[in-house]
Amino acid sequence: MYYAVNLKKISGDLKFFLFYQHILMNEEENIGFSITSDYDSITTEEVFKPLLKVLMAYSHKLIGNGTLRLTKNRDELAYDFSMEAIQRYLENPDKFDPSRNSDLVKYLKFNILKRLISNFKELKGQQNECIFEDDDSIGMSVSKSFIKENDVHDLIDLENIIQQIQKELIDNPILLSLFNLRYISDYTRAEVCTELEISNGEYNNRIRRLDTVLNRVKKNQQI
Amino acid sequence: MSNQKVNKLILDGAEAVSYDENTASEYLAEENVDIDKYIKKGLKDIQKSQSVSTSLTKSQTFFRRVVLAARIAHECHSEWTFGSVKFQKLVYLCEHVTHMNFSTNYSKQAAGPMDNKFIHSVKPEFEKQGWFNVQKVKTGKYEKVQFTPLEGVEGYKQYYSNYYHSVDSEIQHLIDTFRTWKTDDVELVATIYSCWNEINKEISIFSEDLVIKKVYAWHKKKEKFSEKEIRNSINWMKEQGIYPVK
Repeated sequence: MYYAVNLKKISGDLKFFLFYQHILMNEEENIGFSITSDYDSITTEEVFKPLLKVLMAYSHKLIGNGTLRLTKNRDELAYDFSMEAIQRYLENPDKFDPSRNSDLVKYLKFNILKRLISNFKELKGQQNECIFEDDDSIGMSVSKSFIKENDVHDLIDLENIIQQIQKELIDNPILLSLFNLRYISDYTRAEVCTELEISNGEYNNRIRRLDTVLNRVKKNQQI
Repeated sequence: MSNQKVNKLILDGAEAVSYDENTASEYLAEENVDIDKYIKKGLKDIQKSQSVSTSLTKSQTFFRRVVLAARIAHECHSEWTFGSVKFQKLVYLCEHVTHMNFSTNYSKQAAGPMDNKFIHSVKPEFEKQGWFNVQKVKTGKYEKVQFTPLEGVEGYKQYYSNYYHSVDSEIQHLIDTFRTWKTDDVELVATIYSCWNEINKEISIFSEDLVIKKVYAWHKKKEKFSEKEIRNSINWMKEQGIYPVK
């Protein structure tokens, strides 16, 4: 198979074929888009298409729509970063070590994209000007001047944002319980899902609602 | 400490919207991102970057081109309009429209752009590989080159899949588009494409008149096409996106 939605309960190619469409819809079984074998297939249309969607959604969300003055629109930036991540992998596939984590999508997101965007925001924060160079001949170059590796949104300097979010969630016990487990007790996604007896899909929904709360708090604090 | 938690929340938010294809699609739609446009662009960019970064030897290039030619012959061999000239023009169009950047030797021939050396060596290679028998046959008063699939014809597919998977849909689209076209019409499109490409390389300003001028200057036999036919073809190529990008 070119790409796999990892399955906990169903194995075997035939079953995968038979249930693939169903499983994509069945959030109880779906534990995310991953590529765990046949890594060269990422340049094929059938794998590239979902991969770009996932990477662009990830980048788009991380770029945010905050106060950074961007000379390219957010969509274009998300595309550039996503393609840069894929390109970096294709140029140096040996840097990806499947024996540590076999999922190429995770590698692209967490090892490359997150770092690229983090450094971009860091530089933007420092310079408040465009750091993108002109596109190269293949039209997918982003700045080569990423110089520092640090976590996303280190720029946010807040002492009481957590308290503010908790305050916002007083009347929302569903989100508050997730928030406390995940961000106060440091549960993993799987542990939160087990504890709250919710699916991955529901977990994602709640995280998105929390994200809305975070944005509201940030806006109120004029970050 | 707070920052770490906020970072985690933001990263979780990004992970939540990109968890799988469906959630990513939903999020991108909500944000009015034209993802189809980017997928199309991305596939082109990937293909371009691969063709730029891959430096092939002459024999590797030749074999890849033979594999592409086999795909075209396999798809079109049963069409009555498919003969030597149409075969050559389709190879030309597939190589150029998909930006393969092969090292080629196309020259201006009476029937449009042609890589003489390649065309003459592809036929024995087809037979050597056991893919096609290529021979001239007489149909009524006409003589045409016929590509007859041999027992091993399916053999090209594994190579084709390896070499061309990133541009397969574009190649297939071209083959399907021209499959039933008359040879003269395909010849005209290939010739216009080549002239257009020449204009781009010269950094001349594109105009239909300049293309028409170049088509007629190509070879005396191009006079068989009227100006109107050439203009119609140019417009059709624009509509279909089958033209060289500067």
